[in-house]
Amino acid sequence: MSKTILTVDDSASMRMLLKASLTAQGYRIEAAEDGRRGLERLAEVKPDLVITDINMPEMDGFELIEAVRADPEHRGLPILVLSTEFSDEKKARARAAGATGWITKPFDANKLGSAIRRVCP
Amino acid sequence: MSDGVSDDLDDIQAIFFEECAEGLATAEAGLSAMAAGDASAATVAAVFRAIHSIKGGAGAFGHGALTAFSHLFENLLDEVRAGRVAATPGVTRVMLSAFDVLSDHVAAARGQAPVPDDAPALAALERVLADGGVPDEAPVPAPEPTSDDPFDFEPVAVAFDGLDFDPPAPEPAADADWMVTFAPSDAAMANGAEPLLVVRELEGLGGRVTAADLSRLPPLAELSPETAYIGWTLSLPGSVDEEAVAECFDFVAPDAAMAWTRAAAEPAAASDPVIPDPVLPAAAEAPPPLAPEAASAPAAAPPALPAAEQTIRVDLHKLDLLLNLVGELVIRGSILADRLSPKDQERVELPQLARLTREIQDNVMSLRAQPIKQAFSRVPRMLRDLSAETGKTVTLEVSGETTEVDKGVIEKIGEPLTHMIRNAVDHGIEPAAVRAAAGKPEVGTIRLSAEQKGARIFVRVSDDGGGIDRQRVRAKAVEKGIVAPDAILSDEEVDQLICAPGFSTAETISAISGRGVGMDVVRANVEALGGRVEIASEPGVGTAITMVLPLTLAILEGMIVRLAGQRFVLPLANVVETVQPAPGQVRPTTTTGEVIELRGNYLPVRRLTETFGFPALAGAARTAPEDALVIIVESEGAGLVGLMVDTIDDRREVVIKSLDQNLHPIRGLGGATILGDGSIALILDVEALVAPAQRRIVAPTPHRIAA
Amino acid sequence: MTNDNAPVTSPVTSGPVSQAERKIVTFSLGVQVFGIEMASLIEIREWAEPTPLPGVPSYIKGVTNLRGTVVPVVGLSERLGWPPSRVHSRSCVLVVQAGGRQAGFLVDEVADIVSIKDADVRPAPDTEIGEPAIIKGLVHVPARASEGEGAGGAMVLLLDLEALNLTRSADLAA
Repeated sequence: MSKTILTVDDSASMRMLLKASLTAQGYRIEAAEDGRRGLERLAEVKPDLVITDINMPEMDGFELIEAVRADPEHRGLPILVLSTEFSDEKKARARAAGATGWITKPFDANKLGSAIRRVCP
Repeated sequence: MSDGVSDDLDDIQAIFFEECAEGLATAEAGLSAMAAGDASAATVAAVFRAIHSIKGGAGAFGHGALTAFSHLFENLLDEVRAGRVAATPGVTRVMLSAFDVLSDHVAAARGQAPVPDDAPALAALERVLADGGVPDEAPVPAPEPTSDDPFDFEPVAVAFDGLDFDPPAPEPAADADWMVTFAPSDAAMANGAEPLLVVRELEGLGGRVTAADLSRLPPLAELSPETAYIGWTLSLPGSVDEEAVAECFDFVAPDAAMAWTRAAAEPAAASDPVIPDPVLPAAAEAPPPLAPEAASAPAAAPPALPAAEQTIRVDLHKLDLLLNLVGELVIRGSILADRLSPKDQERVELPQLARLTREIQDNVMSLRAQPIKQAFSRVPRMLRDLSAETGKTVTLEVSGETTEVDKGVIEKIGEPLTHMIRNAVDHGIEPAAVRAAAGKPEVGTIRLSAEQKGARIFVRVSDDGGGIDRQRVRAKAVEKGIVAPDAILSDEEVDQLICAPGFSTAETISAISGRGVGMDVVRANVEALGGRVEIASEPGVGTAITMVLPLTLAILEGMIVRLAGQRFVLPLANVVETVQPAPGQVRPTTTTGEVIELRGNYLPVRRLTETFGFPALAGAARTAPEDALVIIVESEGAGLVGLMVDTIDDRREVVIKSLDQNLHPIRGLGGATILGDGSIALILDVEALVAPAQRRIVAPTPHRIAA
Repeated sequence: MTNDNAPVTSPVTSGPVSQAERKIVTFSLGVQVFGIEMASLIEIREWAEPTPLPGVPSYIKGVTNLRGTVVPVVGLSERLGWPPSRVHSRSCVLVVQAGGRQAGFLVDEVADIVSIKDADVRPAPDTEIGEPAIIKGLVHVPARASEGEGAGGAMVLLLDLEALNLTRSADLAA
């Protein structure tokens, strides 16, 4: 049974890139275009992993993660954050917000895959 | 990589470029607003996000120059967003210039233009970043980290600093096996993390757990499922890259105990569970918790964004197909109605069918309707460039940009608009000195507007410049042989001369307006859309050039009439009534003119067969009016007129097909339609047919092609 | 869109071949053989009487229905200033796309589809066609082997379809 990943990014092209890469790796993909819709979709599809951008209108990535973690049911849900750079500070910021891990964009398919493996049982 | 995959990437990149276009539009709107004084958090954030998105995608698709430039631009925007650099006019100017360069980079990435020289813009951005603003301006507020900014990253002591990579043994073999120890901290399972996955990953690299430290494991009853108690020691083959090992620990909380070292030449550690002392001095303390900035709304409340509508991208080609199919549906519906007996035609299903079809048609047509704003979007940039090149300062006023027109129209008026704007700046607006002398403000104004009136769209470019110099235009036209020297022309006719091919009054043919290419292209394009160009000009006051375009009304209710056996469509909208003339009701007034007497009034009658120049049957007299039909039509230009036709077939809804698309506008015709049997019926343009000056529509003198 | 009127031929853009080659369609008008770019050809149709248009030069025979689009039909011979073609069993209409527009041209007979090399195209000599811009060049096309001996091939005049521009014929006529 393949795993379901929810991707949240306001850029359609980025969503499509992720979908192409992840589907090729055998995952089922659901998508949302900002944090608010991400939350809605989360409740609907109950993914095994969430990959989210940070900069989005309506509700950004950090707000989304915090909203997810606020729900006890989802405290064990792995969440990966996408960003163009990850300084040590940014990593800590992400972790403090509740992210499980991170991926840099532009992403390398292999690194994406190994990042997923490290957080998704 | 298979072709299928690279095709997919091309498709995705195409979408990325569309997003770039939207992002650029958003950014330009935001920067313009900032230039006008609105530097609210919402505005700046919108610009930042737009540039950030472009940067992100550009990197993904490998556009180096674009990525690099947008990265620096984004840095500046970040500073402005954080309040560390104020959005003063000077700074905004730098950003607007940077925006123009960014647009050029996007165009270059699309292969539409050469890569721009961005060195000056980059330098300007760097200067502002370094100085915290633009010199010679009011002092910039002292940069302070604002606590309400959710994206302000504060440095945090990260445990990795303390990692000791020195090998424990004095001289390990370069490719000696790794010894890895890992003891997750108590908080290891927060954030949905699963430390065991790290172990699994290490095993995936070829690692083997050699020891496990169970010393901290409490009795089952006291076991908390979300706390980590176990530590592991693993050995990994020396061939594994250090980077690969480090990567496995990338997400692990800094307060965990983890270390990897190359084993010394000594035998591997015994099976005693050994946990090396935590090499991380600061590990014991959790990093100072960052205030979860994101949770609290920033002091400047997030903008009340208009409820984002769900949208979907549709291939325009598919819409065209859909529109064609709907058209076919209308035709078939008409034919079906025709086949029914008059009694059956009354049945309620038939009008319902017609109504449903009409609704589908309206909806499909509205799919293609877009705000004309898209066509106007390039104008501000164009004006900035033109201002710079000509040294004339011009402001732009835009109105009616939400007017909806068919997407096809938007695509086709882009070029004409460009020409018209260039002309307005080049020839219309006078140099500042001339304007001052005339008592006009030095800054010229160009007004761009769109308006729908009835079945037409009026797109107008007007300027408050010097108006058309009619003497000069006329002289040039005579010089170029476009008109005879003694021709008598009204002011309007002289104005229209500027649309003649090969015409240009520029003494120095400027790089902008080119050689005589310009208004004739505009007129050709507009006529190809089935429209016309109106010019109004007042010397010293200004010029207004209007493109009058028909709304794409694809469906028309009309009467099928016959002229000399050929079927034509007469739009029902103009028809008032139909008369079967009684003997003597139609009387001649001159050798060729006739009138019809209708309830005491005399209305002019036009024989359409003669208007169209259909050859009369040899020797035959004119058809007697009693053997024909006269359709009374109402026209704007000539009031009520009677049109004489041979017979009327029926009335039906027809789909308008353009004649201009492949041919050119023909006076007296408003297109063509394809009847149910596949044959073509020409659609009559009533206004043109009844115009008093238009007695006959004759073929233009054919070119003498044969030598 | 239905496919009832499937085209006889479909446009083919020549692939990258060494020495810039391209395909042309050759046809005859009277004794002269002409050629047009294969890439412009949409369809070859049998002659059918088009719907006449008022107020157009006589070389525009009318318009016809090309799968839902209204397309003008031009008597090519007349357009070149020659006597009108007489329609016979092998007459056909070449439906082409050029300069964003579609049009059909009545010709006497379609000959062949041949590949020519750009290098072989020579400038056109003075012909009896008064509008030199219409002729792009001259190229010799060898006869097909199947035509047997004695067939020496033909000198083909390449037509510039865009220069045959049908729009805005008269401008500011008095």
